[in-house]
Amino acid sequence: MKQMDKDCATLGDANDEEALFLAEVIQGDSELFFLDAYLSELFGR
Amino acid sequence: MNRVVLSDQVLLNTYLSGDQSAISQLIDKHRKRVLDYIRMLVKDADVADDIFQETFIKVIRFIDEKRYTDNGKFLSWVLRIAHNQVIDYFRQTKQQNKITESDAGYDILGTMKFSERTVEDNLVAGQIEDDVRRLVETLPDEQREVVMMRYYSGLSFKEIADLTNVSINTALGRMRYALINLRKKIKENDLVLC
Repeated sequence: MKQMDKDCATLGDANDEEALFLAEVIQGDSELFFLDAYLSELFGR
Repeated sequence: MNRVVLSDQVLLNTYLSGDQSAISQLIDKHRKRVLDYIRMLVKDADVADDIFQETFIKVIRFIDEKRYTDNGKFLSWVLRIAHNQVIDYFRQTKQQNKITESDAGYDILGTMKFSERTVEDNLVAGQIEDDVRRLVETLPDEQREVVMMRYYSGLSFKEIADLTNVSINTALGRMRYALINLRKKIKENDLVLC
């Protein structure tokens, strides 16, 4: 696979996973969303 | 094309050193998350866009006025500003049918003004961070595992699922329960995230 296609595929996967995360984990709960952001920064992701 | 993602701290310092483009990079880096957060609260894309703009106007002003001290939690700080902008919006429009102020003013955020942190506040924040880390350690094994893999190791859910020999749906479910559990523990311990 060409590097550009691989990068696009990776970006597409990342977007899919982000959408999945919002739909399946956060489920519209903005407090959980904030907690996720806080934990991301706390543990330095 | 490989793109180097600069840390928030580097971008902030670069901006404060006079490079205006750094603040655009910083905004772009967090645009989606901040916008998603606002949309989740107001449930109106146009209103969310307006509040997003107001949020970052305020963010830039606070940075210019040296009212932000970097503690590695830039996004959390921006989300708090966005949260307060949403509350102001609901006060102005009095749209109680969408979300009440008590709903928007969640317990874990508290009411501490983000722009008025003293040295003592910073010490308290550090203690709270230690407490949250301790609470993560008290999660059930499966939930703690997915939390550490996601936040500490930066793994995708696909990678987490593969490494723990479960389906991606199971990994996502464990993550959700971990966050819900952690929120409950934070409230039970009267912690306010800052």
